[in-house]
Amino acid sequence: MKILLIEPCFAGFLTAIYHAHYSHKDADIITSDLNAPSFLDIQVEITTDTVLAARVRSGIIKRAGTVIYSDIAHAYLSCQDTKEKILFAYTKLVLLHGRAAYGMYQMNEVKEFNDLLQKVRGEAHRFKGFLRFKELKNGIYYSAFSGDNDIIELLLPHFRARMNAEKFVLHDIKRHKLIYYDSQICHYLIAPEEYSVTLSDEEAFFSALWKDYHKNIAVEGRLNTDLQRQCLPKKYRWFMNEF
Amino acid sequence: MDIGERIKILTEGAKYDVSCSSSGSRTTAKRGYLGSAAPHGVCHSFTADGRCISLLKILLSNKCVYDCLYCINRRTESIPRASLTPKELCELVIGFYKRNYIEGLFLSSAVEVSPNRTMETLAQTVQMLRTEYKFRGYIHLKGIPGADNELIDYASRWVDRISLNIELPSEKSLLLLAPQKKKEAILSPMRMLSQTYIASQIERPKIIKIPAGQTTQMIVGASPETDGQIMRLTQGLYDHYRLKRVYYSAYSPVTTNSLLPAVPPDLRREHRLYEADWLLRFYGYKAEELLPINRNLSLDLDVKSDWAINNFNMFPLEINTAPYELLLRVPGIGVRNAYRITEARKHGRLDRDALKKMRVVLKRAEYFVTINGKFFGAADTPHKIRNSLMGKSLSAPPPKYKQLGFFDEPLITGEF
Repeated sequence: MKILLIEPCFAGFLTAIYHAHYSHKDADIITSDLNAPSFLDIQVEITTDTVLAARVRSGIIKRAGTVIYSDIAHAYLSCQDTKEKILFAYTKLVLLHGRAAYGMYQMNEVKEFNDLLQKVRGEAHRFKGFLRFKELKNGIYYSAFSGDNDIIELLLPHFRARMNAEKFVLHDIKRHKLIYYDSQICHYLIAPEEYSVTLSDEEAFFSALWKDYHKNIAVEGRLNTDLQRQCLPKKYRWFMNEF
Repeated sequence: MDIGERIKILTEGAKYDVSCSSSGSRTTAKRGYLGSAAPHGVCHSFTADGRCISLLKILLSNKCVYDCLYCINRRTESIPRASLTPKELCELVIGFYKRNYIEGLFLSSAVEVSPNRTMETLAQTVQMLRTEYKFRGYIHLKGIPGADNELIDYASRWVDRISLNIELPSEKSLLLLAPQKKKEAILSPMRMLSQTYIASQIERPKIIKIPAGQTTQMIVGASPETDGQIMRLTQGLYDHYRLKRVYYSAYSPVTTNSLLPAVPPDLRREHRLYEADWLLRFYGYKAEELLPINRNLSLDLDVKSDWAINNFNMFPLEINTAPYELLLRVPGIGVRNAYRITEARKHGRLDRDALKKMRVVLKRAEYFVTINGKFFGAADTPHKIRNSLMGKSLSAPPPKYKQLGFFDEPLITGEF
């Protein structure tokens, strides 16, 4: 088998798509996993090339439109280690059939891709609701979170639209990624391992009101914590102040 | 009374309201303003009863001059009373919204002093929130029946969604159980709002007034109306009043009165009404097709299966050729699957395997379709299919009706 070994980034993946289309037409696998190749495989290291990546990007957009392109880009944010395999298969299908690939629900490639994308988008959607901001002493709204997938970029436009006159921080604890929006522009930073924040005076007041509200709005006679856990799994609760 | 205490009381009064949806509106960011709204809505938390919290659901006041028998806020009930000032409420909303606790506000109120006075305060509050606090998040406002149409119209300018509750499915029941509420006082503003909504769609389609539309809610099982009557009323509300949504809440006895039934209705009834409601809104059914006026929906079998068995002569349909509208009528095939089937079959004939890959569940559908000419159902007469489908639902673990997250609250409404 011929394996294209890439750097673990989306531009690297797109570069490999370019090579798989032109110089390595017989490539079977694209992966960033250094342990993937075995003794019998032919391994080709692909250097990320932003120019080639940009060409593939416009190629996909021309062939299949921006919706499918952003589907692919978003699915790449997945944490699943089979994502490159799934995306490679789907991208080939897209380059072959264009927009029509979208509706080929009976194909394995499409099913696996949709499942992958759904997991990323679904998680991003949940975080739009479950994320919690705390007001800091300096007026910045700070949120710490961590998702299974690398969704910080998917959350940013949502909160920038919503809080466009505010200053806020999105902090992905697990990946040490931090985006600071200063009410005008976004700053992408690498978060320190150790950090501490000082809360504003009002923070405890609103937090307490919210905790009470969360408790009081439930109808006592109809407790259903199974359903609650199903809709809001425990892994999200550590950053939500009502739990 | 301190503000935490008052918020608690006003939350208690609002929590039996069913709707907590933040969907249907699209508000983009505006420089210097706070908030946006997306058509799909967002859930921000889930309570211990499994319901979603999307909006801050609260009453402005629970001091009511009305005495509706079914309501916990009615005048003669001895509960603590409280109210918030518009400013207090606005600050609460903004504080919650900036911390991403909520998607917006669902504001309602008991009738304090008079309907007009109450409506005025509500309008003033939402106006303040939109103008002084520059809030662009979702607002769902309750309209107060009996208030002047001009006032309700004015209030509706500031909100995404407005709703007046029908409360009971017939004039007779309304007269009996909520004597201070007149049918015309509820329907007249609803008519006015639907006209506003339609007119603004034609005149300025980009700036639709009440973008998330109008909804209503009624109590089921407190009065003798049949499901057939309720579905016809619902159909009328969708056809003639352009409602976005009708909510049903199974009556639950919060008080004893000889005019009210002592036992609550079977919760499955509410569930079946919602099924039928979905069929009206997304599947192209009409109430008249679903059931005769004097009948109730079957509790043991879902509405679509029941309908399909009663109309068995139009089945089986071939998955590979049936048009979209007919696919929608197959039990077990929903809007998404019907769409997927029509898309996928452009690229080749579908077999059982392909359908599995597309996540089409054939458990019920297989009695009503052929797949590539083959019929897979274990029974082929209406009678046998009915037994077989009911057998399936019987052998399944007892259904948890509370899992129907959309429309969960089967208790009664606690407002006005």
